[in-house]
Amino acid sequence: MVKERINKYLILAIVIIVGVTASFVSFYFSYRWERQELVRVLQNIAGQYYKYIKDAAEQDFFALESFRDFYAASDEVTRDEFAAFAKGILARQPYIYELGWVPLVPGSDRAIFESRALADGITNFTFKEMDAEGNIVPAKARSRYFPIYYIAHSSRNIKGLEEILGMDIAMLPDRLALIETAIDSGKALPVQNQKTYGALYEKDGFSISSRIFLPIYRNTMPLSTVQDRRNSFQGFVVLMYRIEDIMDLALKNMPIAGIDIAIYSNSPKEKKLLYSYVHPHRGNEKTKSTRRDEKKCKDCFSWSQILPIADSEWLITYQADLADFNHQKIVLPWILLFAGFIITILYVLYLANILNRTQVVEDLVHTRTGELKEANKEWAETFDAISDFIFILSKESRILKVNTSFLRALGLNEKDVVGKKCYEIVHKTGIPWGNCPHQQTIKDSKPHTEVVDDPGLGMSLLVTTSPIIDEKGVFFGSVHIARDITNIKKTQDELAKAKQDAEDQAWGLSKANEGIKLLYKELEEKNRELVRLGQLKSSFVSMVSHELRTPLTAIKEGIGIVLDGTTGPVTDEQKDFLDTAKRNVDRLSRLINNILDFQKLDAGKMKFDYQENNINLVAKEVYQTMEPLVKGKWLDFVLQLDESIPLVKFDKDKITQVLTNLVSNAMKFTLNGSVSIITTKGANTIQVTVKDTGPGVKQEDLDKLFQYFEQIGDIKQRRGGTGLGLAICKEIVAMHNGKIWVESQYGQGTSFHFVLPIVERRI
Amino acid sequence: MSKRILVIEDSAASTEIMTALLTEQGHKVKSASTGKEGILKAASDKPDIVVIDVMLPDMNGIEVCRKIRETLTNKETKIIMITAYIDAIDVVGAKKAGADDFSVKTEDMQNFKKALEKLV
Repeated sequence: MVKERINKYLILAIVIIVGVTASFVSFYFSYRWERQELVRVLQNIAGQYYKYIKDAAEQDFFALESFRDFYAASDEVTRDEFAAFAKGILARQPYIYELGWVPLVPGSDRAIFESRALADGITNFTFKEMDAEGNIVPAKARSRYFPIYYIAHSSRNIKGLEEILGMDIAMLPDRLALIETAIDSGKALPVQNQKTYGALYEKDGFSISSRIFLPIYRNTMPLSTVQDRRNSFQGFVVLMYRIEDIMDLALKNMPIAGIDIAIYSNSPKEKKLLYSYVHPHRGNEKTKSTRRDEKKCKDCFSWSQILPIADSEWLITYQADLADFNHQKIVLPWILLFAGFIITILYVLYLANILNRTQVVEDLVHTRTGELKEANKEWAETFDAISDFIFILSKESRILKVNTSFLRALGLNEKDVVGKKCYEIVHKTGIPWGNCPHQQTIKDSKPHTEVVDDPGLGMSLLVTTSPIIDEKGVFFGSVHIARDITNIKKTQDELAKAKQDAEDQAWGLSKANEGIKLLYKELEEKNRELVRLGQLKSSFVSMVSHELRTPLTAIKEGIGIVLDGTTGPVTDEQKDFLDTAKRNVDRLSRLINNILDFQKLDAGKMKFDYQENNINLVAKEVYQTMEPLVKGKWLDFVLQLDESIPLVKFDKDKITQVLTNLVSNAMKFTLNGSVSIITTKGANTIQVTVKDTGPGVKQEDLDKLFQYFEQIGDIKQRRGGTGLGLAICKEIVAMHNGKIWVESQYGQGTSFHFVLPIVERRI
Repeated sequence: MSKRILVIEDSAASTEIMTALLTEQGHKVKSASTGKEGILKAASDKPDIVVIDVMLPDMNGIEVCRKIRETLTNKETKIIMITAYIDAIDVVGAKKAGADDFSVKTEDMQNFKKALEKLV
């Protein structure tokens, strides 16, 4: 800011300096130009003036020259003739003051000439000269005289003119030398302030006068040599003029303002002021012949010209005080100077205004820039705060801008990414990915969306690219937004899988159902067949059993009668055979009874009579019944009863049959040790256990014990069982809602248990 | 329309019955009695239809089905699983292994015939 302000002031300072300098420079040059112009004008005027003087001088000289022709025309020129001719010239040439005739008179002719002059009417004519005191005295005797014989004036009537007639102009030796030089050369001789005339003209108020002596020769003789000229010399025609007259006339015709003029005779010997003119200017009255004070000349400009006069020359000097012209002439430079100042000031004001406005604009720009920065910061923070991966791509697929989320996901810095091609960074390939939505957006300038599985990031991304169109409507690039939809996709996939699974399962279940129906149908058919076969078997067994029991009863009765001895005495040998027969008949009878029981159970024809009974009582009865048999095998027979057992509803005969069967089995397979009957009370049951110390049952055989027609062990171990007993027991207990099971340790005895529920349940 | 059919079944009786049935319908039938044999034959013959018993002596029929699907990636080959002992888990497993249908073996083979008709 400070720097900008300094710059601003610097600009203004430069403008002021340049403006002022330009004003002064233009002032200076225009002043110089004005001055030169003034000088040129003055020089031009002076030139005209010069020309005027020159013309006047030349005319005078030309008039003088005409006397030569005049004298050449006649042998003897009389006073009257000269007077007539001179008056004509004087009338024509206003600058000529007087014309005179000075003849050469030899010393011998003095008396003759004086007398002839007197005869011509000149009174008191003698040859005269001026003595040292200035008194006019008669001329001394000389070999040659140059007396003034005639003078013709322009207009003046000068008193005492006769006094100078007869005055010898060659009275002084130096004057004579000049005269002789003029005679010898034949050229006009200019002379200033000739003493001869001095006294006379001073009276007339003339201070300076100039004369020109023109030698006149007789034209009868040749003039080629000096001697010729000396021999034929006749006299001088004297022309007198006054510079004042010429100058005054010139000034009268051509008023010259502001130029002082001084005229000098410019002979090699001396430089003599002939005339000076100081023009009337401020504070100085017109003063002729007064040199102007150099000091008072404020701005002097002087120049000079040479004017040839007869055979000599004049130096004309001009001098002007240019300051005199300033008040009227030197205006333009001042106008330029002030105009320059005004323009500079106006421009500076204008510039200051602009700069001030610029400052206002700059301040505004500064403020706006700050706001923009703030907005940009806000935007950038927002941009970076978005969890979606955003980058802005150029149409050449270069990454122009990325947000922090994206950089974090890639594990890269912004400088690694910006300016690179997107597919190089994202897909790590040199060419664009075929399905890239950005590539599609480049083609059609429309938004595109694609789900992309990125194995590098381990993410599923929903990528959307939206075109960026600039204000000219040209496609610039796209905004590429990638959203992590891994979880959504996973859920979707899981849902799809679950749906597929459900569909598969539904399909499987329907198929299985269909299959089961078919199999069930088939099974039903087979079952019906089985039932029919079962019924057939049952009635067959029933019929066979009954048919077998009847003859068996007859055989048993027959054997009994024979053994009783009713039919006569029986020998011991017979008795043994009959006993064997009776035992086998009994066994066959038991077998048939078992088969009948089984058949009844199988056919559901067995009748149960449930009454409240005491299981201990049943145990005691079985114990008493079986005691002789058990003890007959030298086994201990133990009865262990729980007296707290309540009465329970059961079929006494059937339970007696079960317990008898269990004790019978135990006794049958136990060779040493004991058989025990134990009753115990459970929580809701009563339990009866028949325990023996027999060989025990192998684990794998335990399940077979309660199956129909199954006998375990080898043939030797089968002790005349039917293979139906335990199966029947199981059925009977089951009919009581009880349960029967076996526990055995092979080689260490077996325990059969059955429980009956205390609480009566409806069957 | 005549199809080339591979029957993978360990039961000789069932194989005989199915071969008779399919031949009668005009199809060309090959048989395999183990899973491994079936997979090899399926890979080499590329049959139109493969019939696989769920219970095979060397491996599970569903596994056989999966292996065949892995070998014959085109879905031109149709697979029917058959079983005498229906189990919903087997059926779903067969579906997942790439079986096109699942049929129960009944004595009259009607269910199998229907399944076959759908694929032919």
